[in-house]
Amino acid sequence: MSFLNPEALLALILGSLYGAIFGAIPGLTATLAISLAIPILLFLGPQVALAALIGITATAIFAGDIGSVLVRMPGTPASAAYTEELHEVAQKRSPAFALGLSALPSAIGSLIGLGFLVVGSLGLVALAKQFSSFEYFWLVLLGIISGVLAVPSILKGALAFGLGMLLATIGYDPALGHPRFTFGQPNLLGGIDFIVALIAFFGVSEVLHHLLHKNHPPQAQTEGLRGRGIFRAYFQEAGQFCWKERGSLVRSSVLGTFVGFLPGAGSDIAAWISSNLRRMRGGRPEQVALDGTTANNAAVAGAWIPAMALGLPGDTLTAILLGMFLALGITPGPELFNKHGALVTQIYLAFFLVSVVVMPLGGYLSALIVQNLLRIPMRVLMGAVLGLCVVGAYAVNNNPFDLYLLAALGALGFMLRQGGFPLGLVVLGMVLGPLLEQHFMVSMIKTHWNLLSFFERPLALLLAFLNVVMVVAVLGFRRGWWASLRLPAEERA
Amino acid sequence: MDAMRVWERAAALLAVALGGLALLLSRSLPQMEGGYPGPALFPSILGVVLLLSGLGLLWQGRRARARLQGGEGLVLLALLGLALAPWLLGRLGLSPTAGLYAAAGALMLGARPGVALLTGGVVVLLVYLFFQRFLGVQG
Repeated sequence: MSFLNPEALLALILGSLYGAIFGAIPGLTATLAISLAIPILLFLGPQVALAALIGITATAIFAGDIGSVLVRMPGTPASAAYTEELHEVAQKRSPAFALGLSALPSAIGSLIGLGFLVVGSLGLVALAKQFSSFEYFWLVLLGIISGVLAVPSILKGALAFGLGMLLATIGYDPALGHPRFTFGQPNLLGGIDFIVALIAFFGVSEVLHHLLHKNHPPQAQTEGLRGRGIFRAYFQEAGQFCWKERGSLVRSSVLGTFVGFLPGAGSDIAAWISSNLRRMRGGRPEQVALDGTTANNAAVAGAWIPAMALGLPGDTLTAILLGMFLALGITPGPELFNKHGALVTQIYLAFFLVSVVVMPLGGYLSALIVQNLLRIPMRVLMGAVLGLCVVGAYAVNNNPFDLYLLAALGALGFMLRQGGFPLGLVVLGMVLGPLLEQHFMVSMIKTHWNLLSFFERPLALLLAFLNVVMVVAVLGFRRGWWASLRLPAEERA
Repeated sequence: MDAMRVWERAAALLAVALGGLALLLSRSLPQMEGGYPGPALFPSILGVVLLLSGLGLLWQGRRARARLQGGEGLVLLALLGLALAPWLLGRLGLSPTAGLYAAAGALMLGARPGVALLTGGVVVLLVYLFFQRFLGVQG
């Protein structure tokens, strides 16, 4: 198999390292990593370029968890869904265990996603083709409902989600393209950049939180973890936990792959749905993080299914990848399988190598580094985080106006965090809110505001039914676990 | 817990204000052909959600004690300082601005001046080499 040539393997490893750096630093995303790499990759030929691309995409999503473990700041939007839980695990057990909990399920999720990519792509694509704006509306609503109902206080959840979605309404609306709430400010016409908001909510608010509690800093549990201790926590303890949760691993992987292959949905939505479903079932932080991280990595492979089989992008990353395919002279779709069978096999092998070798070992390497980084005093680390927040927010668009937003949203994030509001739901509102509005408006415009059209298609009806079942079931058994969840959530705040 | 109530009430009041504002401003947004709701629909719904959830939280916590814990002045100072970032960026450039915030942040968090300065220096170097030279971020 020509894939095992040294150039492609080197490209895979370097691409993974590059993706891991971008994923770990808040403000730098997998999309940005690929965008910057494309001009170089185009000169390398399809085999080497695709190996590097797979390395970048697969590890950038996993590496987004490193910031969550270290400073409660997700490196990528896909990690935001379970940042608080993963950070809590790192504080209570050890960062090495938390990173093992991130890397091993990520690898398994990626492997299961690869399984679907290999054997079931055409069948799944047939199902995805049934999805129209009606089905997407119900799917997005499912994600929102599961998020809002999963938190201990529905009022706080609704307020946080409402604020996030209101922030997302700033800029051109999806129906008429009319500017909303911009107050004549041209910098707001394109809306609030999601990455800037992410840095403000999780980065700036964290620094401010430490500033407020600087006389009572939280202590990370780092003692006793050296060499073998890190190895045991990372591989043995996290591995045992994964084995215990093997049913969840499979469920989250299947869910992540499914969400990933739907055009327009991606790793972040997969992580939100999967972790919210676990929260609703009263899952512990370890379980919530495991479900989220498994799903977002499975979604990476899932997004490749429609990209390869139909030439339809599953998310922004695969949209860029499709452009890359075309630039390399390869037409995605049936032609890819007929004319470039060897290349398809190479893509599968690259995913396999990333999942089995790069993610677990790269994660272990990051556990060693993170464990040492935590020896740096928190005041120094948080000072550096503040400096990097400024750079990260500015670097997204090279626009100084984003720094005003950073300060304003940082203040909002701090206020909400101190008040015990789930910050994740603000982010959920910003991610899913525009999608909900867009699919609703498209559906309504198509049917001249016939609301019954949301129940006319069999798949839409099934998803609507699932929404109702979820609301009824959650409200039914919320009463039992609400009391037990409320106290820890308030203590966390 | 008392301090949390203060922030909870502040957030609830903010939600009520923003909800009301969203409802008010939505009225000036255009409708679609045939009189169907257009860009105003979702902001109006969100306005109602924010109003109701904000009022609900205020009602729920009406009897709870609320008191600040102290140290909020430092947070306010940091936020005001952060709002100066665009101005500083225009005068100092990207990496010195980042270094300044890193050093000031470390200092405010209780680091010794020498350590804070070192933190700022490392950030300047990192930002210059990685963001400006490697990624080509302007500034």
